[in-house]
Amino acid sequence: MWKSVIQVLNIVELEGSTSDQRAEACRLLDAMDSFRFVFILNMMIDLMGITNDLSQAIQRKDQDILNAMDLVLVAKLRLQKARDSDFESLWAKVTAFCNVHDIEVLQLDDEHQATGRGRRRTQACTNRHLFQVELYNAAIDAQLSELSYRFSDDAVQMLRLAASLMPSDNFKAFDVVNLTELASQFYSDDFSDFEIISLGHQLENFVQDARSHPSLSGLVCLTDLSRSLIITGKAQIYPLVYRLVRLVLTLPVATATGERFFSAMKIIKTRLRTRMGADYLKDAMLLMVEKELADTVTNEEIMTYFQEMANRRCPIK
Amino acid sequence: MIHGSVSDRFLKRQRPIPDYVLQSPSQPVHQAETHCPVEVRSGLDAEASELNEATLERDPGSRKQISDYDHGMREQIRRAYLQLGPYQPAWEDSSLYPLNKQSPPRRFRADWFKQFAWLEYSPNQDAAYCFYCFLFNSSDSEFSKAGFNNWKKSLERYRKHEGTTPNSSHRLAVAAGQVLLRDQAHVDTMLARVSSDVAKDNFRRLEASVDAVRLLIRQGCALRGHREGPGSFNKGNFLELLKVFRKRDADYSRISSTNGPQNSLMVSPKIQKEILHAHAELVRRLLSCEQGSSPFAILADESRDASKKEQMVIAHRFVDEITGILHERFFEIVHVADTSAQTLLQAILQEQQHRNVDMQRVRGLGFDGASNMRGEFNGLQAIINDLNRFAYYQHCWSHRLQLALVGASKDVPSISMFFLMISDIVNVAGGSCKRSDVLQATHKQTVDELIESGEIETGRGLNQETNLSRPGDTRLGSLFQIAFIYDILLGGDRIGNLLYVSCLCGNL
Repeated sequence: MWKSVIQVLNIVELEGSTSDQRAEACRLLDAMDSFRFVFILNMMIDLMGITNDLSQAIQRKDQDILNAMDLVLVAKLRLQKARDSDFESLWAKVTAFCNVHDIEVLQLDDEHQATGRGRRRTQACTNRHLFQVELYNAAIDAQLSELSYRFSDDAVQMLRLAASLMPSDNFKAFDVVNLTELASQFYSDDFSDFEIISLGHQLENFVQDARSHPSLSGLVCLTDLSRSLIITGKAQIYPLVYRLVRLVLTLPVATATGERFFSAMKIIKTRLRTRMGADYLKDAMLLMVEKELADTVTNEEIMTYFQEMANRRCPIK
Repeated sequence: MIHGSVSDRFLKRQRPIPDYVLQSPSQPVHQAETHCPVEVRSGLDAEASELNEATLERDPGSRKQISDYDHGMREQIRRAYLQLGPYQPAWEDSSLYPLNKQSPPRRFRADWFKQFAWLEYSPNQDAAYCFYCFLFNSSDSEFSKAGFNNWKKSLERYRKHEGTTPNSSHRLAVAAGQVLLRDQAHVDTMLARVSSDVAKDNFRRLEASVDAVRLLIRQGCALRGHREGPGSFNKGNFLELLKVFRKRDADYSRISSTNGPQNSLMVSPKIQKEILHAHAELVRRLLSCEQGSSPFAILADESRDASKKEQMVIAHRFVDEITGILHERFFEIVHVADTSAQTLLQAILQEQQHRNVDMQRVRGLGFDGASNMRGEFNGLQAIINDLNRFAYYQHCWSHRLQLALVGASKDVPSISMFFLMISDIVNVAGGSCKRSDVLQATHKQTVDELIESGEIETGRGLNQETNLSRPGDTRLGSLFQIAFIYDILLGGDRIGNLLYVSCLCGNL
């Protein structure tokens, strides 16, 4: 695409209808021809690439909040790792790119030649300083500090307590005291005083049981735990543990589901169908977004319901 | 002794018919009758025969006239009488019938019953009646209503009453009585028999319509067309789909459209909507079964639709108690007048109440970061928290992640400048159709050259036609940051800008 864009800009520069357009194309060509532009381009792709997968994962329908906490942690670690060790490989990549596209390559340890400003007024520094410290590290640092700020409620007590429920690494984080505190402090409506005491015992027994149970010990996330509790029948033995797992799972992670529904709405209610009534939209959306359930309903059931909806004069049986 | 017992048996006044039988039939029976005549009729028969034995007044002199009964009851009463037959209280010894006061005195004779099967005798009135003429209101009112007791002229009068032609009033009444007793000839039975065939056809027509509605709704297509009248070439998806059905299925074609009964084609717009509604209601039942009384979280988001109405989508996140699987299910979409927290709250509460969901089971709230949602004091989450303090709010994590990653990096001036530059490049290079065409053409040429020289591979999904997607098109004008978030994350084409940035930079 790079070559094609350059080519189009060249055409615009030569054949643009107004002088403004020609000047604009010229400016852009200059910018694209600079090492700095290519460097930032590659850097942003790397940084976005790190988090793209994570944000996709967070939007999954069955994502649980403990896992999301882990994913954010992973994002932080990877950014930190990129800051510590990935600069050299990025530099190499940018140099290769510039060679292919005939762009002047800078040497890391040369002194930086500031363009467009009086050299006397800028502090002398090497390219390494400029690109690594002032660009690469600064960008990552800004992201890291913003991450810590935005996700400061990792520190919120509720999530900290709930994290003890994480089944990964054979229930390494499991902590009975934390979990009983979670139940008594945040879910007092779901657990009576007596149940909180027996929850403690059930948690103790459960973790012993689960660590030695083949299909419970290898679990990664809470969604799996809840399903496995049912499959192994442990949900009946430890009903209070199951209840707590369900409550933590219920905590919402992303509103991506809402966005999915809106994209369905855009398909149903288009420019040509703006007069659609509210009831029709409700029914049509439900059937479109919950196809899985809608398909389990048989024609016979629909017809029976249809017959009973009103006083029908045409019998069907 | 004999006299006593016999007269007891015949002359004792019967229990009167209870009011509910005599009054107009109660409403439910009426309604049911229109539904399935056969069943109800047999029910009435059972009732009628019960009423025969115990409650019908049999004495012709004191019984109620058929015309005095309610319309809906008459047939039933007639059938009841017919099943009992004519009232013929026969003394073996005719001397037991009372003498009249004429001279010489005369009396009714029991052997007349043998000669005239229709004859009835009323001990109360000491008069003779005609059973069939009573039932079917013959013109000869002496035998149907008043009673005949001029015994001197009796045989002559009986014959005269019977009439000589087959169309005499009496004979017609007799025929009507015989027909009424033949169940299979009854008009209701005839109708019912026809409708069992008709019902099969109705079923097939309805099923075809159900199939069509299901398919179209599933694919998000419109049911109706712009013009659906007879001259139209495109009658809308639904009718056109049925046309395909008719083409593929000769049996269906035989009973539908112009070949079918025009009063039950099952294709009217109202029917289409009702089928859709029936289906949706059944799915709603499934959903509420699935959720049961599980604790759940409310996820809500708003957006404007094509008709510029603000719509709020509500979803529920819960764990199915039986399977242990986590679901995020569609709950409702509501039109809200404005986006203030109070309006949203009312809309949510109304829907939950309407569908009978207990707000006390809410254990989580998931909204985006808009201030009307997350506000600490008057935000939606704060108001709901006042109602239910266990409804813990979580700001959408993926929104937060993107705000952190994209927003933050722009704090560095050169990066911010870079984004502005990208935006300009897109505007200049891909702005007009002409330039966009040139861009695509050159790009295609490059790809072709590379494929020929074997530098890149061909395969499914590779090297697709791309273009510079303008970030401003996606959302909120030219705010690149927001567009970037949404492009990469939510809605739009998910990987749009990332892909585009890598296209720009890739080896092409």
